[in-house]
Amino acid sequence: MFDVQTLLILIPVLPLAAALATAALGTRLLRGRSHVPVVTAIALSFVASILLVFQLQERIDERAAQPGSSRAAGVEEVVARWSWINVPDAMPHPVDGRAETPGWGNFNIEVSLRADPLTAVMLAMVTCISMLVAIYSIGYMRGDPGYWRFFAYVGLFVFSMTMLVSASNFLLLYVFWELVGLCSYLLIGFWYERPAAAAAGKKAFLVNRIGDVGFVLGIFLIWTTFGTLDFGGVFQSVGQHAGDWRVTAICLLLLLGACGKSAQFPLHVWLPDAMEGPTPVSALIHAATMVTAGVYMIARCTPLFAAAPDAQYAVALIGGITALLGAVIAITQTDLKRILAYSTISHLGYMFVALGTGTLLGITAGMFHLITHAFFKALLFLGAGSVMHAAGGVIDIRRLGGLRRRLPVTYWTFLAGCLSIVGVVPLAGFWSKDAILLSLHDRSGLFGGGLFEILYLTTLLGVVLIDFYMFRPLFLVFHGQEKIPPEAGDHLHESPGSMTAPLVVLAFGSVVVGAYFEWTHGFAHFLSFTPSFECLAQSGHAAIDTADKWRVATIGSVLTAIGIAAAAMLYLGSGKAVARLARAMNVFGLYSLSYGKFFFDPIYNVLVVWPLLSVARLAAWFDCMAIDSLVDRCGRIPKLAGAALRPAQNGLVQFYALAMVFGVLVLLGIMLM
Amino acid sequence: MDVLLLTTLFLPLAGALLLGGDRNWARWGALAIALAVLGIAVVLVARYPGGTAPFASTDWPWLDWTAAPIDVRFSVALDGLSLWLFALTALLMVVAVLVGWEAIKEQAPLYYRLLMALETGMLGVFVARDIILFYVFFEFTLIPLFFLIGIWGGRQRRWAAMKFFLFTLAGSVLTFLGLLAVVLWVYYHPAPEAASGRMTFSIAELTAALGDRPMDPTMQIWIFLALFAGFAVKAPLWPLHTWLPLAHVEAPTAGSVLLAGVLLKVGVYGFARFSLPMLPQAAATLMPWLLWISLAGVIYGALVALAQSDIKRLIAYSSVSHLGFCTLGIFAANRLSVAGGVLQMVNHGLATGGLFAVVGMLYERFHTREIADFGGLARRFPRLAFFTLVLTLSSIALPGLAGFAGEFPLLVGVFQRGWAGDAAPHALQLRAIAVLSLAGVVLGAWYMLWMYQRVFFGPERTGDKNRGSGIGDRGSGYEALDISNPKSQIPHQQISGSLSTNPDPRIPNPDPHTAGPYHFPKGEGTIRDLSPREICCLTPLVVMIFWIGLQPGFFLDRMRPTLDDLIAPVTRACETASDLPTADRIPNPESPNPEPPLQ
Amino acid sequence: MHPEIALLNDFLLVGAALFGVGLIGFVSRRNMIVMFLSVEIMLQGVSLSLAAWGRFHNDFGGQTLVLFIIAVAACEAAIALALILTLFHRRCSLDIAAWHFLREANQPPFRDVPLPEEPAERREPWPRLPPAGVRPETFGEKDKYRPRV
Repeated sequence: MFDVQTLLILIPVLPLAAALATAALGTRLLRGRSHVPVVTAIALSFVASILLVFQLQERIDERAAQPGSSRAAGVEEVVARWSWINVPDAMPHPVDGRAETPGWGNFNIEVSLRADPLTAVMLAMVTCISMLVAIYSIGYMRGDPGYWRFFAYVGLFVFSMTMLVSASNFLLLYVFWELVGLCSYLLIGFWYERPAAAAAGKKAFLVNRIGDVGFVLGIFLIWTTFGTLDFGGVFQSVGQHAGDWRVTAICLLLLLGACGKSAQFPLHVWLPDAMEGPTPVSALIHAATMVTAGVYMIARCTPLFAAAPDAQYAVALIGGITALLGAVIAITQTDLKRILAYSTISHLGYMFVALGTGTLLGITAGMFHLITHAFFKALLFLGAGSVMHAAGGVIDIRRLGGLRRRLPVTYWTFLAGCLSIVGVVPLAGFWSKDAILLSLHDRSGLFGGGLFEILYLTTLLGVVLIDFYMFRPLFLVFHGQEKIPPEAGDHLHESPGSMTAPLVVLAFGSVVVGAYFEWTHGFAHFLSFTPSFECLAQSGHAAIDTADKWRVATIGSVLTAIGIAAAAMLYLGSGKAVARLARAMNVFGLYSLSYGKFFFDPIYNVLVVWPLLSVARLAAWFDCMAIDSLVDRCGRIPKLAGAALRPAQNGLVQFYALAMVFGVLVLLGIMLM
Repeated sequence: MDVLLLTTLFLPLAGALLLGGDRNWARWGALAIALAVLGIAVVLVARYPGGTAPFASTDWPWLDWTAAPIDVRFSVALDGLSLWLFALTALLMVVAVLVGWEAIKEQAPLYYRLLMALETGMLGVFVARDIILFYVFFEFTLIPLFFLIGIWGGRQRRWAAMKFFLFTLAGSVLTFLGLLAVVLWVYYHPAPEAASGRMTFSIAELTAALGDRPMDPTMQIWIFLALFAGFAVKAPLWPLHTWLPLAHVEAPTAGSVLLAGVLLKVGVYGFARFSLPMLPQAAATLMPWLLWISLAGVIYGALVALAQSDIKRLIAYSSVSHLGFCTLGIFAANRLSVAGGVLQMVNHGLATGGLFAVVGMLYERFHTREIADFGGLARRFPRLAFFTLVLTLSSIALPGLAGFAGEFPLLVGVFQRGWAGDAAPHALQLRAIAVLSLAGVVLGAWYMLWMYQRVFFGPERTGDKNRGSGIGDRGSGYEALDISNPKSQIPHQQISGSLSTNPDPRIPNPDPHTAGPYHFPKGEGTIRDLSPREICCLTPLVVMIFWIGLQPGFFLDRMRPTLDDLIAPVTRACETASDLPTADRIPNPESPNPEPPLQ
Repeated sequence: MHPEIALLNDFLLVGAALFGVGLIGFVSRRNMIVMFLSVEIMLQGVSLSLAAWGRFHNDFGGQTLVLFIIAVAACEAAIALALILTLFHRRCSLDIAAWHFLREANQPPFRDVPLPEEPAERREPWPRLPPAGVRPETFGEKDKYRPRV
């Protein structure tokens, strides 16, 4: 019906057109119906994405059916529409005998999209979650004065995100990397009249900008090293640069960019603040899609990272630190959305860890977790939104309680999300978490195993912590004594159908999607045909020992069960046990650290923001008092020179005459000499 | 075509001489002329064939008396370097006429005549193909702007106008000496076969002659520095920038728009037109210094902008930062960086010109420019917020908008200068510069977004609240300006002795600032969102920003052949220079690799 | 020595002497009339040398110039005397030191002897006609400033 190229173009263009239409007509024509074009377009995009997946699957089947060269090449199709910039021979050829890629130095940036399994999976996930969130927003945002604006932004975001995952060169990736950042900025600051929202938007943009500087430097270095920015060209020639320090530098710089976008350890501070945005935005952008862009980018750049093992360790290390950090902070937070935000940070950390293993198993596991995480985290956020909607905007879990009977649909779907995220057999979270554990376990035997051994243990610790921080809000908000904040009024009720329907769909997905992918082996097989992963397939490794599989799965499940039991004992009982535990933890200052979010914000304020602002003030002062006053002093030089000559102008005619005479005499003297 | 080009020069000049009548006649006449020039500019751009040959050229003898061998010609033409700057000027002039439509009430005919004169001067600078003609236009732009600032400016207008005029003039006199030195050098070193003995002032001929018979390097450096004096003041490069914030803040809105949009570019244009192709050896030798100065401007301008409390001042300092980027690109002198640098000039003209127009619109409504006086304007002024957002985002180089299309190739080029395989001498310095210049990008996002957030987001701030909390003494733009600027008292007293002792009763005081802080009138309808006129004023800028952002290739392709010609001598000079032994070059004589791999 | 050259020598000597006397007079005297006379003497010295040179070269250019100088000097005398008269009316003094307003603003005035101050109320130098016929209408204070003239 539609070929791959048409689909690939349709997927981003439809939401863009809808967004523009909404922006143009929203205020006058559409008003309360502003969601119609955007939701329709995203739904169509979703259908197109599914079609794309099927088309690629067909090709893979064909490829697999061919005998012999079944794994020789991945499946991809690139469609280039127009040339953004074309500067031929922009860079001279290298003189030091380094390898050259074909087309070296042609700064030809095309708006080119690619279809390969990795992109197709991301496209399907993004459009699916976006569609559900957009439907949810119909109910959630109803009555907001910026209703049309919200949907225009969402349409723009879906366009940017789909373009991001289907971009086929680094510059285009960066372009949409920034554009999703812009959408994030606009949507975080959607309620711009709240200073906190406006400040959070700015903070998100700036922290991302710091990461983007790394990304841009990485792109520059890719350009000077490979002479091209096209994925294909770079990935093909990376093999000739193995061991080059430049490749390691490129990977570390790209990692910095990914850290910014995916809220990883030093740059994670913006994500919790981003929760100032409307809850659907948190679910869509800051849980399911945009924040996974960093993971996607690292997966996409697998050939680069494969050529730089040091950078892979860095990815894994940062992922491990972040995973633990996020989990520890999440345990003590009291804002439901922030708990979820830290949980997101932690889970993104797991994905980084998985990618850092650098094996096909690990990368598939990371992408697998990305997909399942998108489902259950979007579900949890939307559930939290549903609670907020019912409770009049209150989100502090200490002020809520026993809402189980009031909000039955929300409760059951939230419970499904919780069970899935902590990894209860056989829900989705279990399979992806298990895949990550397995990849770590698998890697820990190989070279550099020490790091992965530690990470494996860290991840197991995380498996316990997650039970605590996910079941704590569940128990506090939905169980126990009924607590209804006064803001809710006396009409606390379940959300409308447009909000609960996406919850149910997402809950269904959270339950079955993992099992489906795992049992059919479809996901890993599908992904392994991505051209970027060819380098891994060639290296290859022994099949996983079945015994290992069982051992890891058992350990994970047992730990989860223990954790849930402990959390239930702790939080379903009276608060005394919790308080005792908190005191015990605070002996080492752990509780304060966790509650204070490890004091990243104040530390950054002291280390970065204040010094910079002080330097800025100093520079302003210097500009005024030093440079400018120097200029003004220079301006006074003629005046001073004039003052020296002034006495000669004494107003006496005779003096002037005498001066004239002397002048003539001097001239005469000169002439005579 | 040549007739069209001449029309663009002489039509505004005719306007400058003939416009008169009352305010309405004058402003409609000025608008008609500006639109006509814009229309002609569009036709010229559309017909521009590309390539390196000058387009629409006119070449008349001008000062060629027989007694001396001087051959000054009235020679104008368009080429790839000037094409977009020319079009930008024509576009911004329409904006400038529209932006003061209501605000200029006193002496309007004179105002519009000066604007028209300024337009002739600015267009002339970009199309002149003769050094003397160039210099005439170069200086001629000063005079109308001097009066525009001095008559219709803010409170310190006279001091600002004088400082602007003298500072720029002092620099450009040296530039003139440098240009004459170039002419004389070529005159006294004629080609061996030529025996004409004619002293040519034609830029193309001089460039070609200096390409054939390069000056000796020491001489090049001296002449380069002389040219640098004027162009660097005009650009303005750090630390010669201090006239800029003052002039911007005090100028009427149209003056700020044109100053930022066009006149600053004249300096950078001069570098690209004269310094690089004529003195390539000096450009190659001085490259690290020039880049360091540009980088200092980038970072310093951004830092100072961060500390400003006045919107107009903030944008003025952001201009220092952005122009630093432009010169960074020009001085790095490779294909990408120069193309990006020239495109960045156009983008800066659009975005910053637009931002100054926005500040003017805010000022017309609220009579203050203090950031602290604003807040939450997005609710009542959604259109203004939208336009400002686009301009702001373009200014911080968001992809898809114009700023990115210029800045990215520019930075790639700068990076390439230090990191590509053919690393020039001073590679370490160049590398450091390339990396540090990105700090300007982050800081740029910081101050612009912070400004936007404080003005348009947050709870709505109104004058009523100011009055209630008794902070009226901070409310007015001028008092606050005096507080924030400890120097602002000094010049005012200084000029009161010299310039303002003779108050001209015909020149009214255009400041409406004698009143206290602005108070929002009661009732919603009093201060409205953008009027159709103001939308007409900003829309072309935004459209151009999107166009350049989405299709920079269209713009780059037309300028690249010319730019390649211009930088070819520098590239050659750099190649020969890299054979010279240099102290800070990476010493690695054994290995063919300049940098050994770390592992 | 050739008699013509001797004659030229004599004339030039007298001319130089006249010029020197005039110069010394101009620099040393403070009476404006005398200064003006000194200038005229200098002019005559120059005229004399011109005439001498004209004779020496047998060329009428010198004499022509002298005639010009005489004509210009006549005009100049008229203007100069008128100026001096005006200045005298202002200060009631012919001392050139009474006029030092051309000095720079912050320079002290050069005074060797005390100068007469400008009278606070000047006597208006209007023409005084003998009374005849009807006494003209006067406007009191206003007449002093001649508002209608």
